[in-house]
Amino acid sequence: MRRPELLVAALVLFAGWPIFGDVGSLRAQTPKHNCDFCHNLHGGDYNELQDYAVAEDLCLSCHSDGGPATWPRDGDDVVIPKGVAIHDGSKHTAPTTCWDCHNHEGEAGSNLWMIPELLATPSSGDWTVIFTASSGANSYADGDGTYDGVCEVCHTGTDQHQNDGSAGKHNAGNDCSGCHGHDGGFAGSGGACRDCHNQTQGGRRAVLAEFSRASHHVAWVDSVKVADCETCHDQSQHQQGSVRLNDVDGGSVIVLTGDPATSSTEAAKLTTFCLACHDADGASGSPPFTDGVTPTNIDATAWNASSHEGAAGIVGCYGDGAFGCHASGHGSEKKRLLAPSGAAPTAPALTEEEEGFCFNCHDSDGPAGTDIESLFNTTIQWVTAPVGDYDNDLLNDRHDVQYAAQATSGAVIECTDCHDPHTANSSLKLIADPDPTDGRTPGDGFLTVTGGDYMTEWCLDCHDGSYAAGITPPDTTLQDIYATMIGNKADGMAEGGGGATLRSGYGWTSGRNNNMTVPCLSCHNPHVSGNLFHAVETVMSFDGSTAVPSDGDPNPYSITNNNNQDFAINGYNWCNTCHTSSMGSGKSNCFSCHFHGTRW
Amino acid sequence: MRRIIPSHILLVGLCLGLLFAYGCWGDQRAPAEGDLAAEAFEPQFAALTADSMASPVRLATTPRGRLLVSDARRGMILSVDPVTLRADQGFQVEGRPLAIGLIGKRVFVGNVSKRTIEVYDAHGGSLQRSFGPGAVEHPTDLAVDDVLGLIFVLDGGTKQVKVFDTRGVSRGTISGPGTGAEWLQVPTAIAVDRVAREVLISDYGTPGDQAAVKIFDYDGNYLTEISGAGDCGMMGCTGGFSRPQGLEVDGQGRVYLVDALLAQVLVFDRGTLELVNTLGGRSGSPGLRVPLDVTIGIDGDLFVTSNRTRTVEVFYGGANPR
Repeated sequence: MRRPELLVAALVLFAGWPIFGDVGSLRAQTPKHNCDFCHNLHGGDYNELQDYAVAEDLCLSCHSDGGPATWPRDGDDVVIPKGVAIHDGSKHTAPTTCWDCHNHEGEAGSNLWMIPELLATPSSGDWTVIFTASSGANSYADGDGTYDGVCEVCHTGTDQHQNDGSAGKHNAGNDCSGCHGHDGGFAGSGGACRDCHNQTQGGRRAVLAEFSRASHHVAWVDSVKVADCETCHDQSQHQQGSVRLNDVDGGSVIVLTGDPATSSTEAAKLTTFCLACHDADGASGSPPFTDGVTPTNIDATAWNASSHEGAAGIVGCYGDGAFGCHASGHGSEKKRLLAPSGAAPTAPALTEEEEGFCFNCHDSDGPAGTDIESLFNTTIQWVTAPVGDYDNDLLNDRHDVQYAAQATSGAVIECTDCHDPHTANSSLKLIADPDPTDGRTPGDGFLTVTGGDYMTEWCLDCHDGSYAAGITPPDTTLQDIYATMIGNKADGMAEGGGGATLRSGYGWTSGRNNNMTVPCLSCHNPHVSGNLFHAVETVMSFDGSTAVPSDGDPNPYSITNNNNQDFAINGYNWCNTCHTSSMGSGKSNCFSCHFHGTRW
Repeated sequence: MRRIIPSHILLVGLCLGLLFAYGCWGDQRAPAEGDLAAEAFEPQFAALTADSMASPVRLATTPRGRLLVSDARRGMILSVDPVTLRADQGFQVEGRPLAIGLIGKRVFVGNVSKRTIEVYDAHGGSLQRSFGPGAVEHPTDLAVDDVLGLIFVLDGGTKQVKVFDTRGVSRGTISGPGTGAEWLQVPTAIAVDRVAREVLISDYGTPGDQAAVKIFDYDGNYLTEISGAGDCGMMGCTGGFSRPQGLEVDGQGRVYLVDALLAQVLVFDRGTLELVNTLGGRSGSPGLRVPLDVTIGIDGDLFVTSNRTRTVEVFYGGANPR
């Protein structure tokens, strides 16, 4: 009897022989890929697989998006990366195709993912490959002294993991494909930084979302590009335990070994790093980030001379809000990258990012030597009523830096409108020009009256009817005191022409046309006082050396009500501390008739 | 003489009437939101500054002939100008979008990352809802019958066609995993012939089960297949296909099929199941590399996603209008 099955077997063997040569090895070579996945067994052309372009199309006809090898198939979860880019970097003389690394021999061996145990390398001959794990020993590049990782065996011109161990070994034992993916042509970008750092990575916190906080570096979270990250972060030892930061001005890499948000030692390393960009030339002449934004220029010389630099407890720019003001370098829930970065200020006062932030140090227990918080932590004294000719019931005893004051007056002014924390020191507490929009700079003599001092010019830079961009005037317009000083001298504070009789012995000159100019600070406290109009607690002599006894002693003035008959609290005693004869008695208060610009 | 009908008889009559009405409606198209099929709404999305594609996969055509393209790597649905072939509009999808279809004011997207069908507003592209997590395992492609308001989702994970109405309510399944002509081996793409009410499914096949386009009726009955075996003789086979991907049916019953490896559009006659034309190729004009889907424009132009070249290519006049 004839055996038809023998004939069939012979035909199959005959058909397969030209292609595979050894049917015995055929079974072992195809645990995942059947022959006819790739070969037309009856008439197909094997040469097609030798054309790299076609070979890749062949692989990608299953392993690309939409191909069936991109989802679990037949219970076998195929996790082959879905790539559309070949291994063809600048160091390659010819493209490396799928088949160079994944082939029949690889499928027959014990290596993962069809990687052959003996690989024909481009410039180093045949090389043994052991690739039985995606990380750790015998993985892509495990860092040991035997260079048999699939990522090592070919490499002779790379910066890392060459096949003779002569280059670096970054991220040894890690899963190389996490950063060097098929779909990027294995380029070292590892994909975008954001693709990994949008979530916790080992001990590293997720940082991507920090770029969408209230204040942040780089314009917008979707625009955080690899180049942006690499402006600050040195990647030469990525994943090797330390955050390494670039000095964009060419200095040494700054290596952090701890968290600068909690360690003042680590934070102290960062001032140079911050100022490298926050200087006159940005990142060596360019904007540091792809958003093109020019960083704020922090004058390093002024900073080094400032009270904050080197002040007790402050180590530099970065910190927790106590030993440094700013964190993180990515973004903060507060303005201006203020620390601590993750805590948003409390609405509506937002004090944690405004005066409250300064009060962290400038309070009763320091470490700053000036306790400003205690001054402001007093009940706000508002005028009792708009009295007399000047109808303004939104005046009080302070500059309105607090929300409680701002909510009533409509005015908004903050500490930094007068003080620059990067430059302020004991001899230069104030910013140079509080209102740069008006063309006048304090100290340049714009107050063309005799005796006009620097501080008077400084105050009048804003009390001139115009304000700096960051300042909101109160709802009821303040007087333009600059105009009264210049244009209406008789009723201004300059070159007094009223013939006032002043208390003698304190340097204030009596008599008509004596050209005595009264500086602002002679009568007003710049922060806050217990008196309306932030009138000084004590009037001083002209040279500031001697206190002038308050009129009304033993009931000295305390201006808390501008609309009653009590001389001590309505301002009468305050005025008469200097004015000895011009003021009569029995006036409800002086301000009903006398104020800046009117009947002065 | 006046005749009084007892109230209980009226009640029974009312119930019977309701049941009759329900039975009639049950056979009709699913009541969709706002009569989606009746509207010829032209989608409009945000303008894009970056018009490049990263991995164009599936295609759909808008009423005015623009092309909606799923880009699995950009994670976007792109709207492509049919003249410039530039993606100048689009919207973001969280995850990897593959399948795509349009009915009225709704864009239906198969999100393989979330294993569901998501519904986006065709005006602006905001996500409105989804069919629920796990509604499908791997929605590699979908086809819509906008007249009946049905969505045929090819689930590569379960190797089934899952039929939904526009609200996401299941209307049944077609075929399933198994060997034999009427079962699905490695299904990749789907199209429907609304006139013939047929469902066409590309299937890579497995050894012993040749790649094919398998054809079912809307009720899931297997009808026939277009075999990928080609024309085989003593010296082997010519023609045929092995990597059938996206497909489309025109108004004259011709089936347009892209093969990812041949890099061609194969045109078959639905009646004879014979190959009647081929278009493209790797070195053709336009050249295709791993094409994944095909659709017919309103003027009979044939548009193809060429995945490796990251482009949408056009064969002018390459098809009969739908």
